[in-house]
Amino acid sequence: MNEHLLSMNIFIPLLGIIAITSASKKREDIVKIIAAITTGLQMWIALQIFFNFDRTKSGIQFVEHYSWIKTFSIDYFLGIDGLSFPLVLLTALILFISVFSSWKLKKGVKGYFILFLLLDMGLMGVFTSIDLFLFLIFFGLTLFPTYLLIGIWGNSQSENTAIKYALFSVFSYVLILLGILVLYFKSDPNTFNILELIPNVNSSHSFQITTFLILFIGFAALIPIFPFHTWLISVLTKAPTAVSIIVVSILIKIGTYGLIRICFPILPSASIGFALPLSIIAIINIIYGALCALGQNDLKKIVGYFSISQMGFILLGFASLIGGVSEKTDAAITGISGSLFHMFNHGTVAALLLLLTGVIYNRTSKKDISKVGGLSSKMPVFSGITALALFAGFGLPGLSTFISEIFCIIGSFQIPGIQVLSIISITGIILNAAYFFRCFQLILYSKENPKYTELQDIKGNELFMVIPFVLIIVLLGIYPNLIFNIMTQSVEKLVEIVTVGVSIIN
Amino acid sequence: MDNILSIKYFLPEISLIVTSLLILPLSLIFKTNVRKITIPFLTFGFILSSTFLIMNWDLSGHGLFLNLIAHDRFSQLFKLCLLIFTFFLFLISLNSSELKNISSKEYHFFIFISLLGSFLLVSSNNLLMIYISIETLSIACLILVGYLKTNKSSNIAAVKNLFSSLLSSAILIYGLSLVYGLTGTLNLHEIGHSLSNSSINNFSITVIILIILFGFGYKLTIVPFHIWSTDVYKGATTPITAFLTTVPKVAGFAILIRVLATTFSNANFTLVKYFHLSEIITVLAAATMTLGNLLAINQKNIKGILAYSSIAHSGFILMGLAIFGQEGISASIFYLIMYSIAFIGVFTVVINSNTEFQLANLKNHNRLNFQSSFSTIIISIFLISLTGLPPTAGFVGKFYLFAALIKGETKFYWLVIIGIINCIIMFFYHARIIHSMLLHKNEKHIKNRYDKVSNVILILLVIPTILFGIYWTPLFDFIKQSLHFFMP
Amino acid sequence: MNSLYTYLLVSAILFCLGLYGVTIRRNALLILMSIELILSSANINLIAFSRFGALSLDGQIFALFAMVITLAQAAVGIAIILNVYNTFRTINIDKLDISRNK
Repeated sequence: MNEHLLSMNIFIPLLGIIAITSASKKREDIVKIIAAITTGLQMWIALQIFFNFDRTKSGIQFVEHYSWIKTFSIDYFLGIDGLSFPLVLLTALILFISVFSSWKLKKGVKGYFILFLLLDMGLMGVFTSIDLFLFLIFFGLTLFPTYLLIGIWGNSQSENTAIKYALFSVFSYVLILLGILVLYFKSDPNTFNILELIPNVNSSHSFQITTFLILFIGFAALIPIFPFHTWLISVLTKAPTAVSIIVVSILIKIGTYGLIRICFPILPSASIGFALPLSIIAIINIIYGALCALGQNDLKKIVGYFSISQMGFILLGFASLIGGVSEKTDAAITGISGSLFHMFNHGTVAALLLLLTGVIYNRTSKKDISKVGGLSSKMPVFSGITALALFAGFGLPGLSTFISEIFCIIGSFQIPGIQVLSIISITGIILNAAYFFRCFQLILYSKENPKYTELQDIKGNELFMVIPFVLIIVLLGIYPNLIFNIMTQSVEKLVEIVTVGVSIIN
Repeated sequence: MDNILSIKYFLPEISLIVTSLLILPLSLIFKTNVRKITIPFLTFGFILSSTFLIMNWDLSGHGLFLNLIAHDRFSQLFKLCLLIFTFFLFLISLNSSELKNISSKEYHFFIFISLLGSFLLVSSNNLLMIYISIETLSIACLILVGYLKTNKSSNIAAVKNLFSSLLSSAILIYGLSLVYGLTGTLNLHEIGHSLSNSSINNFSITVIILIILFGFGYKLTIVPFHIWSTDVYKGATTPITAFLTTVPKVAGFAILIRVLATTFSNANFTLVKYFHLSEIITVLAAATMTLGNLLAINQKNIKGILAYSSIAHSGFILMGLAIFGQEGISASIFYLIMYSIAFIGVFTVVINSNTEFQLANLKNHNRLNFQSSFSTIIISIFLISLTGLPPTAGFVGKFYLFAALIKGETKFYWLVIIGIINCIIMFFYHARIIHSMLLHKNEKHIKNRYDKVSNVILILLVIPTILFGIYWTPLFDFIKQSLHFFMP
Repeated sequence: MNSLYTYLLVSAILFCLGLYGVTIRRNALLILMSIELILSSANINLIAFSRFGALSLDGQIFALFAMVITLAQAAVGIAIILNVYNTFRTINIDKLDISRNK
């Protein structure tokens, strides 16, 4: 049973798709129920893995390894470790909730959920494949469903957004394909297996730099790093809520995940060399995102810029990897695990904020939060949750994001070269706090709008979607070890791999 | 092998000849209900030919008719593909609205003749045979393009096709005559032998190679010829465009590969260096795909996009030939086959929809709403395969091409970059078709009149597109093994 | 005088004349004739190589085949041009334009 959990996790959506196609066209609720059951099963599997995960092991677990294409030494190779498992957990959770957030959908329900489950399959595959070719296949599988989901079910101007998203992601896809092919042919014997690539590509520094650049630009378009960020904002404003939640919470994490899974262990020397530029890019993202968010009134756009800024913190944590070589291993481990934890936390917070945006929009049909007026007296429960989400946004102590953000900063602070940058990044937190307080004031305590006298408080389906995130944010704020436990061993191993890799080249 | 013994291996071609010669008298005898008689008869012809082809499947190579024609694995692979493609195209064209009201017996006759021409072309082992078969193919195509005698666009396409095709074949035969003069033989293999042994000066051989590439160029839509071929593709009736973008192209690439492999490369499939052949093809590949792609962006209707897309795909296929080597050629062949399958699939949907879809301006934000979601899904799968995203066979094709390039020498790296930029552009305009079917909001209904045959064909074409995107080892091994050229 | 070189020279001149004709002529029949010039130049080449190169007879056989095929091409070509004349009432290829003749 336990041996095939990952495969089941990936291929359950396929069964769901078959079930949906055979469902009758008139019974749309059945389609939704099938989708809910499918993602629910995945959630259950993810929890199974969570309870059976061996937290003392640093290597990959739940391995499935079969030969697939022998001539090209491509394997069907699945496995998870501390780096990928939090993301699998997040993906399962977000997808499960997203099904409910698209419960009221009326147009083309069947097609929507088929594409949704295809996307689901691709995402699960990306985070669990150890073979890089498999990674490419699953990553490619996510592109078209997302493109269509944004384009067809988005609001009126979503066509151009869809093509914008698609061009950026194809751009990144092709570059990643190129980078992986270069790695493949540099290795001897040629392999796509990450575990074998790590000791295998002991190549010159210049080769590593070139390959790292190819892969980095590819992943940067996804993350998205500063000049590439425009697609994310338009996707968030145009796409249906469920899709924008998936994009902002999971899809952009493929970028950071790719960095930590492929670039850092396989190209250690280049990664160390790139630590400083990486942290500069991170600072640009943090400050730029926060400044843009300050001027926005559309909560969805704010979430977009907030995400850009938070991705900066994650990259800053990654930059502390350099500590591994300058005898500050602890700093490196702190920074990297902070980043990983932040990837998880940002996913939950962004999803929660987007869900709440949906709640406001459903009641007032206003995007501009300055026109909504104070809601605190009419919707007390909603206001409480919103307050929590906004506070979690800038990392209030006691909530999960506080811990991860602080870890990122502490990690980088201990590294002499990027100390200054990590201090600058604190202004990012202050700016974040500024715009979230502004939102807080506008949504909850501004002058009440007389038009909205009778607003229903959040309840039923909406409450059900929001509660898990609230619980997770609070629980992880109090007991972060739930996630840290999983990661620690793998992060230590990663830092060790990088250190050893660099010492071999020198 | 002498003439009498060869006949056994020549049976597929003979059955094609006999069938095609019998169509005309048959359709004269049965004047009423011609279609009811000819179509089963032609189907029988296809089946007969393929039966002979499979019965005589032979792994060792033979030189038929005193080595004029090679019966080797390579030619058999291509014959099988061509036969299947033509059969599908034949069945699809029966449902075409453009060809409905005119007599179709000559049409089928010429389809058969051009299939015969491409059969001979993929197996020719001799310059004379190459010339004869290329002419058989192109004369049949000339007539097919101008088939609608009263249609103006078809007429213009026919004239353009006439001149470009005649010019390219005239230049080809001039080049072939020079090759004959230099080496004193017409046999491809002997030419290769004498080129590598003699001290013929490098420059003249490079010029001859250019002339021959010029001759093949029109069939392959390599860059300077794209101007004419796109006009022809756009002007001809859709079933014929479908035919022109696949069958002659497959045959043309096959003969190009054979010529390069038997005369201009050594036993390990490395192109002879001092002719600069590899560099020439690299430049042609880059130019072809870039120009094809850039021009495709501006196209308004689906036929225009497909015409230029077909050119861009030629560029990608040439990319594999530039590296040559076993990997390069087999990647190119794989790509060629997958490209043809996807193209036939897209054209099947196009032919079966009404002309509104064929002429619709994809830029004017009208949503082309198919009656059945079946066609939308199917055409999307083919288009995804053409753009090269997983899990379709198009991805595997592009993957192998890039893999072969990166594995090759450093001089190909710039081609990799150009190829990657082209992949993105290619995605853009293929996505536009999907875009206009799914994403535009103003609805405009497109009717399709599917019969059962087209449905079966579409499903038969989708299966390999998906299947070879997931598990392609058998096909790829098959292609690799087919690279045993007959060398007398 | 009677050497391979002379024949090749004649053939090269014919080839160039043919190419020149194809590029400047606008009358469809004249273009067809220019293409025929190129084909004849190739035939001269083949026969001359076969005769003077002390090679096999292959070249002359090739030339015979080429002549037959050229005839077939010309027949089809003239048929198409006639057909175009019937539709457009002109064989000047610059004047063939769908939009103008509607």
